[in-house]
Amino acid sequence: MSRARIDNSFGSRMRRTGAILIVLCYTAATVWCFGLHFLGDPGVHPTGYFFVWDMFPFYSTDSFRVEIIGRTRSSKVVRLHPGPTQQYRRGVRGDMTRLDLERSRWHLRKVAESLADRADASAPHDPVQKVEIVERYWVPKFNYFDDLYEAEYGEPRRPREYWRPRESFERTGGAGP
Amino acid sequence: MRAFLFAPESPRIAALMRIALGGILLWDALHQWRYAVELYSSFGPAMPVFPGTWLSPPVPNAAGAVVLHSVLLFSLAAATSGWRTRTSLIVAFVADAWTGLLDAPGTFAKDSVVGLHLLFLLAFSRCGEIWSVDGRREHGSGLACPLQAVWPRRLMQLLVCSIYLGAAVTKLKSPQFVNGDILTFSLLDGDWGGGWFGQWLTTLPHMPMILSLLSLTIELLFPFLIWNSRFRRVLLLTATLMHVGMAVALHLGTFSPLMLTALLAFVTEADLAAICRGYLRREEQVLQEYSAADSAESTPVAASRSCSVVRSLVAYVLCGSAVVAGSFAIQQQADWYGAFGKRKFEAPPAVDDELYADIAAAHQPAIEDYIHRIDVAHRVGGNQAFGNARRFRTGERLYVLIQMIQPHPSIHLEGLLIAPDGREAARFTHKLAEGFAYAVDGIEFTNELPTGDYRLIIQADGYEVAQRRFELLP
Repeated sequence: MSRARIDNSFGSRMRRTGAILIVLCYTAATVWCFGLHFLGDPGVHPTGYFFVWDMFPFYSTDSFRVEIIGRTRSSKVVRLHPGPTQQYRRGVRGDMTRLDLERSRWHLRKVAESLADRADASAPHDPVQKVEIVERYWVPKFNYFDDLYEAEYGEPRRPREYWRPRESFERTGGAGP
Repeated sequence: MRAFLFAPESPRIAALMRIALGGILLWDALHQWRYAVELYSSFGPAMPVFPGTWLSPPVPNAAGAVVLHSVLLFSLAAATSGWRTRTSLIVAFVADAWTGLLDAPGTFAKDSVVGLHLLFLLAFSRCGEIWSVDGRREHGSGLACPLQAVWPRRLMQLLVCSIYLGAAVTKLKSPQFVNGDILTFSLLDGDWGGGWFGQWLTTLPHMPMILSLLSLTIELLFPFLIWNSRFRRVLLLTATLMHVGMAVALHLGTFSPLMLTALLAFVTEADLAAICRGYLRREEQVLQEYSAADSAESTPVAASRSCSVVRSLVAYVLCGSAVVAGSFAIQQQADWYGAFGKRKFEAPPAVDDELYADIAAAHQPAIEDYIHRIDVAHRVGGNQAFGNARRFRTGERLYVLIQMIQPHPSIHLEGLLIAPDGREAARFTHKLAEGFAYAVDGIEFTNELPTGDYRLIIQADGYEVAQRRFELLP
């Protein structure tokens, strides 16, 4: 019976050492981040996101769609979002734009400014001077499909929607991009 | 420990994972291709996941985003087919991380992180040695291949265990998960919620809580028992069923397929043989013959090998360039976003005055919209209602369990019991402060109440929000 030959060349030893280092680093990162997560420490470094598995940490009991409205120099009120340059859609009914999906709302203002710039470019004589970011929202029971809603609540589904302001800002320049 | 990490093994499992992972990520990337300008370019604009940190990569312009995304497509296709596998996996990892980090809402989530881990770890394996273009080039038949060290697969196993354990810890810390509320509202969520089947599950009594506890049990047991050979197959099957169930009930994107791929790390050669016995037996013979021999004996002589490597590399770069150029040409010609100057959009449409007045008014929701569900029951435990709500007997107590959405204002709840003759027979009042998700109250059926058909009218702040009918028996 032949025994496997152990390759002890320099290259092979380097490969083995590299493998051990990777195993150690990967395991250490996993264990460290799990420890922080276990204790409830959110951590200070964003790389932790890659090793923390906090699925289903919360739930939301409202559904909303972001709308961005601009008031132009001539006092015309125009809809900036959703618009033709926001084409990506996702969600159960395939009607959610990126702003509807982005629940942290970090990027709302940046997108609003970008859309106002684009509106200015298409109508330079009447630039957008005020931007209002609002949300059209409703409660989750209206997400039920019609038959399920009727079976659950004993009446036909007639969704009620509401509006709430999120942010508004004035624009001084009104110049195109 | 040395054997645990460095024992030689066939790369077939890793090859299977490579094919599955590449296919899933490629499918997902193909879906995003049409939107590359919106998702990954400054034109979009991009929405970085970690703005202001070193994990916020440079944002390309529209042309750069299309090129970057096309490189991702090509590298994923090459990795799936096993063409210059290691290079393809590394390029796919970089391009996937880059694009993902630029798009917080559409692309980046925990599923894409799982995908990145698997791409990274597979790059250290010899997953391209079999069932691949590389395998055919190197070993002719494409069946035989050199063995690989087991450690990349061990790290994938560690990844799966840490995912389950991390998820279990999160859920254990959330009472709303254990009582089923998180699952209920996740299934009703507009983004990752359920289709008809998923929503139907929320209407079944106790089902969200049962499913939540089941998933928690699996996630807690898996990391500890999977190492025991007696439980391994059962746990693999259970975890597979859980992910298939999640895929059917929720819209979780690539999460379930990626987790099923990651679970392959626990599959052994014996499992594989049991699944596809005939095909693998033939392959096993070739593989054993090859493995016994020194790999150098089977490889082509150095000169022809280096020639083959150069040819393959040139073909790879040419093919990649062609894919990128073709993809760019299509995007530039179509110019769906007007980013390449071939399309101009009209000025934004005006908002109807009536609608704008409605927006400006910002009305509060109707009071009944704060109430999600009302259960009438014989018994209440936690947030669960029990017993036949259609019939009660004298001496029993009727419980009303009201589930609210969050946040809600302070609400005054009332229950009016209407006797068969139409008079008010009893009532309860309940002041529910903000922040409470449930209200429980009830009425006792005393001997003075006549038997017959009753109604319970539930009011919130003086408005009727629901009615329930039932029969009182002696």
